[in-house]
Amino acid sequence: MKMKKINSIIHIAILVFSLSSCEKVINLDINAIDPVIVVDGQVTNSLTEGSIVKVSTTNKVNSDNTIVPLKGATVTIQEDNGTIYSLPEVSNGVYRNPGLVGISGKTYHLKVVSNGVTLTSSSTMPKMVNLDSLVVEDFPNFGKTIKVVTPFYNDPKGFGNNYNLIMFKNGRLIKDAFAYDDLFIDGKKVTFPLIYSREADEFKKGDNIEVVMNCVDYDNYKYWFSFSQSSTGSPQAVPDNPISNIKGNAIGVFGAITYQKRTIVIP
Amino acid sequence: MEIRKPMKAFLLLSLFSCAQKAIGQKNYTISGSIKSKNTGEYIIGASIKVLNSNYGATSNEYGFYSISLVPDTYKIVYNALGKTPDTLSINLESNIEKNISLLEATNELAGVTVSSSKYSGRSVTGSQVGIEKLSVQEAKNIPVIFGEKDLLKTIQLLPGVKAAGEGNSGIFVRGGSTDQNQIILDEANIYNAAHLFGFFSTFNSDAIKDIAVYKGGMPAQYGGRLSSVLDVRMNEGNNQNTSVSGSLGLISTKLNIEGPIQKNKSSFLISGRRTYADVFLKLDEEFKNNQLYFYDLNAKLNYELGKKNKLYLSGYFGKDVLGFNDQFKTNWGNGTGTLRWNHLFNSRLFLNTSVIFSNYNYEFKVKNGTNDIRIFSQIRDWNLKQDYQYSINNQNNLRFGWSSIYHIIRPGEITGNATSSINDKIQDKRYSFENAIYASNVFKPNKSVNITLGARLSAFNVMGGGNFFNIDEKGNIIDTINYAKGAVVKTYCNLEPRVSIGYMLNANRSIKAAYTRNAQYMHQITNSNGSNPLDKWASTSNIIKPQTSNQFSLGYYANILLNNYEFTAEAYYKEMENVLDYRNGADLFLNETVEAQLLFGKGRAYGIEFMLKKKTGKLTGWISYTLSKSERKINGINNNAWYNATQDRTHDIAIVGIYQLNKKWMLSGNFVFYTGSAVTFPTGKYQVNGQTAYYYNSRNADRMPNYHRLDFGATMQLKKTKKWSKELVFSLYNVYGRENAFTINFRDNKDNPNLTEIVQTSLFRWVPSVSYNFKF
Repeated sequence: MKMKKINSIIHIAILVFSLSSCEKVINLDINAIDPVIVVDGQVTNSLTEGSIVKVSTTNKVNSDNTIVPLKGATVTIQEDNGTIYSLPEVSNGVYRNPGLVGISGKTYHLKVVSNGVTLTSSSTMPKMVNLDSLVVEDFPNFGKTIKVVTPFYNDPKGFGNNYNLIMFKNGRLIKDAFAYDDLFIDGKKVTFPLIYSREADEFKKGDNIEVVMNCVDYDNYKYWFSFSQSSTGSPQAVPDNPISNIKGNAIGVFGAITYQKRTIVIP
Repeated sequence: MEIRKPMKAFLLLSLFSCAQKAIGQKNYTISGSIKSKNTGEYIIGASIKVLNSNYGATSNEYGFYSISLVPDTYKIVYNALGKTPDTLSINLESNIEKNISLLEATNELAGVTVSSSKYSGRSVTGSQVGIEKLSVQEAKNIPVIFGEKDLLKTIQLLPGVKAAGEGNSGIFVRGGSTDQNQIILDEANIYNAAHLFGFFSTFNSDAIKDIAVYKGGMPAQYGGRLSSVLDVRMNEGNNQNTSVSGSLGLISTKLNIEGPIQKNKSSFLISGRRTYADVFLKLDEEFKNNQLYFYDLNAKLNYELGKKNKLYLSGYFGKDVLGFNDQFKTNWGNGTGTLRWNHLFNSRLFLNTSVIFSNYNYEFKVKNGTNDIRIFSQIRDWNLKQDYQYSINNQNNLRFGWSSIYHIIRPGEITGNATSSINDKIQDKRYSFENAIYASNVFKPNKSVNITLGARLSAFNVMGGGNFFNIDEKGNIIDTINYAKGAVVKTYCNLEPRVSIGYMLNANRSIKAAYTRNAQYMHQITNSNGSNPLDKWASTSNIIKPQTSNQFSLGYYANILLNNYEFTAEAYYKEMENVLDYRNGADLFLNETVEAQLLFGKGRAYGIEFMLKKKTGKLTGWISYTLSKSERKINGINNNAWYNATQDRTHDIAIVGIYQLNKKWMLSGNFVFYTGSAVTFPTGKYQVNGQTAYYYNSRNADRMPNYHRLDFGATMQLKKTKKWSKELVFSLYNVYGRENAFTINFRDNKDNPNLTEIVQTSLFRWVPSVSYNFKF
């Protein structure tokens, strides 16, 4: 339950109150800027997921949402002060090494070199917290009841656990970010429903919902939390870029994260 | 200590030299109070003009005036808004008390000439710059949304005052933010003057006498905010006859009862307002468990204790309640109480002592699955102050006093139910003292010069009781220090000079200049997208420094075309230090301390304001135009470079016209235009973890579309006898249905998520309303 949610509630209440509010699609002249490099990389502890780094560049706002890959980069990840793994480009802008499976407590150092530009980042894989179960619950949403999925897990006592959750409906990503630290939930059983923001995503009977829970370090939490607050284009968002842990002239995030997935069908 | 020594010395010297001149002149005093004959209400700002001399005075907040003159025979004209002037001939040989009761200027007396607009804050005489005044009478004919009369919305039609948004009662004054406005109701701080997310102000116009807005040149008795003072005064209550008035409108019902407790001596007033949108909601099955209403209650008692003493007790209580089924419930509201004692030592020295209480709190309850979470925050003030007004002689009027406020803030309290995942978190209360002493002298050496020299010395003590923090550059807490209750954590002092000079070029034209320094110790932190009732108030601490501002203003004032028109122009430059904003990615509710979520910087604002006002005749009204700029430079935003403040609007035009068609019909209209607010649109987009993200590279470099709107209003007098008065008020908001942008957002197209669409949301088009007002 974050500020954005509260702001959304207030924002929706304003629209409900004004009754006559109306929406229309408009055209705007948007200043285009030179493309900026985007790094989206992760080392996971999952044998199936392995480690993957996507390197791309920003696109124009009025272009479509396809990713603009940055081809031909040299991508390596070093585990602590030990082995350096190289990640070959397996498809355009996607660099992957299925053999690099991360271990909790180890720090991973990313290095991306492209056209003379060097980008670096580091992340330490936290301890994995078990994702116990998923439950389907009713959720009141402005005069109507919707189905939501709630992951259950027990936050270990002691501060420093951070979570990032990702949800898929019938294999399609729900485009909402759910990032939590443990400042207010330390040592508790966590039961926050994952409330999706788009009406089009509404869960129906028979929908197959997958929830991925990543335990992440604090910088990754900060990235995903600020992402949910600022980069979504919604009217409540503060227009700014998420707090990146990539060093060099680039944006994005690199994380050594634990990976768990559970699935539930909406009854 | 930020006292500038040379400035201090200069000020003391000036005050001293004025006092020197006072000695050795033989003066007598004419003093007394000015009331309305019909209601017994004291009149604020009535003018007392001594015809065969250079001198004059205005009545103070309690209707009291005092004017010192050398012995002679004088002709004195007493005049006030909507009243019939009274002229007296006085042979001044000793101190004289003259209590004046002015008759209501009815239409029968004045024909159909509207004389109300003659009264205005702006004045050719004196040295006060940057002031706007508005009485309820003046505002009542100007159309507003939903027909709900609202002084804060009418004030937005004046130059230099901008609406915080569509249909919003919040204001930006001269490029400042909303929390830089000090809004006081009978001297009590109103920390959130908005109902229903700002669509209405907390001021029920039936209970209000008048409002003065100081945009610059704040007199020394005011302090604590950078950008403006909105001094709102409640009616006292009719001490002649009991009267009942009220209205039925689209949004609310109002009822006002006032009358004498003991005729001529004491009176009471109770005024209430409640909205009833929720009554309609109940009719609909889908919305029947929703709550949506607000109410206000104003009450005042006053009592005259002999000739020298008066007591006033006033209170305000207002609350908003909003709830959607079990999903969430929120309520917020202000409560204030003011006890005032006017004491007249002698005909020259007037003292007001006030004890003031003010409280604002909000509560937000949200259900999140099995998590019932409650968020609570509160700010509470106790204030004691004394204000002396001393008429030294015919050239000098001194005002001095002191104020002490004790603030108690409960910054944030988060609690959950037994099944919630939340550990309860009660942030430590913050205690502080805000003290000030001030003095200001109005010196009138001759017919054409008027000099006000004043200063305010303010001090703020951050008091212990709880944990204080040290924070690194990234906003991480690096150190926690516990202070015992009663220990002083830190003290800040600011000397705030208030200087202004007026020079009469001739009887109808003048120029004025002013310099004002202000310090602000209480801060409301809003994010860049505007304010909402859950915005936190934070007091100055070891981390949050006081905000300060320096403002320079220059004005030209002229009465033209036989005093039928008034033209004024004012230019200002304001610089601000220690303004604050949220850090990127700040968590506004779930944090250890709000201080770790903040960034600090500075601001500057400058502009020029023009106003042409037609004060008499069947058609009255004004045209106002403001050309301005407001910028911020905050470490951590926009690569630490200057950027446009959200409230930066280059052009701002308002045209207001009121036409008295005949005795039955009064027509009115207003038109507003302003440059769209500064906003940040993305300059690129990218994909991360499958999500579409927008890229921003320059804060507030873009503009919302320009805003413009026309409103019409009409008042039909139904019946008017001595006892009864009834009228119907019609209005149409946004006559030509302009779709003004409320928000612009970027999102995936619903049908083709691979495309981005830009969506503009607008709120009100063609809002008609009718209300029925009565009085008996």
